[in-house]
Amino acid sequence: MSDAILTDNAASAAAEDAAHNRPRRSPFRWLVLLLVTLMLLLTLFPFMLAVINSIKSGVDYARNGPLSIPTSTDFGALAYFWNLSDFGRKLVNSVIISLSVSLLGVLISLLNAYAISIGRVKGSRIFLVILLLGIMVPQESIVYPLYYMAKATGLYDTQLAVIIVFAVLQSAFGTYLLSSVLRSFPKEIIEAAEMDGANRWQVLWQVVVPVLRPSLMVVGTFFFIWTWNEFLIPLVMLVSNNNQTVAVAMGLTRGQNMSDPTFQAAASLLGIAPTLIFFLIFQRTLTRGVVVGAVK
Amino acid sequence: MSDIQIELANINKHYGTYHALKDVSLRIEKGSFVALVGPSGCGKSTLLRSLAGLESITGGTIRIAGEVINNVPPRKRDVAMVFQSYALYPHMTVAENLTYSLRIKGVKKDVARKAAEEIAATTGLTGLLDRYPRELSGGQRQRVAMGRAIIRHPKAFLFDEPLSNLDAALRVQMRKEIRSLHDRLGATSVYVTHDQIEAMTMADHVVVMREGVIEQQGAPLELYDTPANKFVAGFIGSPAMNFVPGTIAANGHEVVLDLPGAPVMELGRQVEANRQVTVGLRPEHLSVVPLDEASLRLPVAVVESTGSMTYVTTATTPELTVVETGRTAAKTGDNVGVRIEPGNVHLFDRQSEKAI
Repeated sequence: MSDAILTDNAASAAAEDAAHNRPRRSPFRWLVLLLVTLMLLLTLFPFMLAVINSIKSGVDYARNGPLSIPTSTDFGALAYFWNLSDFGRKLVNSVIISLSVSLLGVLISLLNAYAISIGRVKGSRIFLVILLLGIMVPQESIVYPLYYMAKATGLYDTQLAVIIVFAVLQSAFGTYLLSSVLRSFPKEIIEAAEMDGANRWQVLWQVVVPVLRPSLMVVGTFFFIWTWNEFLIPLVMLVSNNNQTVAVAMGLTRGQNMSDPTFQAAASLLGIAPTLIFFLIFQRTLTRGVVVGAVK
Repeated sequence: MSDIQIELANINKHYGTYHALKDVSLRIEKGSFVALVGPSGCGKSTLLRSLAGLESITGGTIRIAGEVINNVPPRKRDVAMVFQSYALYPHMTVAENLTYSLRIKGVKKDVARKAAEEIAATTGLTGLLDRYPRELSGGQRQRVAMGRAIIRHPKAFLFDEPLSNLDAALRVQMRKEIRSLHDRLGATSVYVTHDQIEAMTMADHVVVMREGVIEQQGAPLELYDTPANKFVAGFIGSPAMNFVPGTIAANGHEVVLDLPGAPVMELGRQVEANRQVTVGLRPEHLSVVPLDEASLRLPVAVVESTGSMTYVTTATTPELTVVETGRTAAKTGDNVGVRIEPGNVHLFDRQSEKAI
């Protein structure tokens, strides 16, 4: 009885709010809004620096400093960096490496997670912890053994070396994420497929993967962005100019005894632009995938 | 040739130290509708899942159509299962859900579609074939789950509490639909439920389970009329049977009830004198009568009327429930006369709880 009254009151209050279209804003909400705006500005600040300085002439920069608005638009630094670093080539390399890591990493993560969560492999928890070590250890500590391994297998200075290393390292996180998603996967759906005559392979590809697609997209997008931003291992593994990635090219803009801030800003802008575009395209997928499993 | 479609012999199932199924044996005839019923944790679902191959058994033999299938994976057992949660494939349309098993077998698309249309006509899903499960109501989803089982023409249908997620009215309707579908297909069905009404109304053969053991099995009314023990007597029938402690009188054909006034009832048969018993009285075998015609005079605690039936509960220990057809004049706090229909008294041994 009291429940019914409460529900009625809540319903009428909601109806009233809707009718007046007047969401209540407490001072606390304003404070939160202010904080969020501040954080947004802080996040955007480096982007702004990259944009305004990359289209600034060197003289303008020397005269007015990094925070000034450019007096004229000068694409010289951008063009110089593009040509000097053979940026088109680097872009293609980064796309090939990131996309390959993304696909291979998702595949490894999926197979691992399927075995761990659905296949109920014995000792799966220990297996998962060992896998997670892959992302817990600092890259600096494994770069040496990786270097020697690549040398020994003849993969040194090939993109395949970087692809394999990152696909494996990142699949540790992917396995962790997907196995927790798969743990809450309705068991009955898999059992229904088994009863319908599907074998494990068919259950995976025809039932689990289509249902899991949003999560797979999230993992793939993360892998792409993370690989794109990787610097140390590509720097060590890829010595030839033709094999290098955007991040490595960006890193080479600063020498020991030289510094050209507009040139560096141009490199930064060109370097982050593709990931930004990629993120904007997959933004919906990302947000959808991140909340997958949050409800029900 | 035997007409036993499913045979379970001495089935045992352990989960670590927990003994879930204890030497369960059951023979299911071809074309029969068998209900496994019992309270939560009695092992009925485990037994069904073992039959489906979704659980491995620790001991015993399972035969389907004469063939031992202990180590055969679910997909090769040729049995279909309807799950409590429907377990439809969320990314497939109704037609795709229905025909998934056919497509796995390599049946051509147009043949599968035709089969889906036929099943849709049988299960009332015509016009819904291109919808996704999320666009269907609970009852429609239930039908898809059943259609998915039917389309395969399996050796047996297994139902795992398929109506639990439906509302009361729909449950009654689907109960009839499942039973009539079973009759039309001439199928062999094993139906798990905790609802004894479902078991009683749908099944030809009811198996009552408790703590991994079959307590009694038989035709629904056989279980109702001659329960083997106090548990079955209390489980089958709604409202549940009344139990009153009593002692067999020295003459051996009367029982003295442990109720206010120590009423004495005629048994109509001879029982060992002075034996401590539990007397079972079905609510519908008791009636409210004028005090001078009554065998018992009892104070009333609660009167509940559903319109067609009235339930009178007495303020005694143990309390008794009386079911009256229609209305009754009894009111809370009244003293009413209760008559017990002779010949409808069940006796159970106080210790072993077995029927006497």
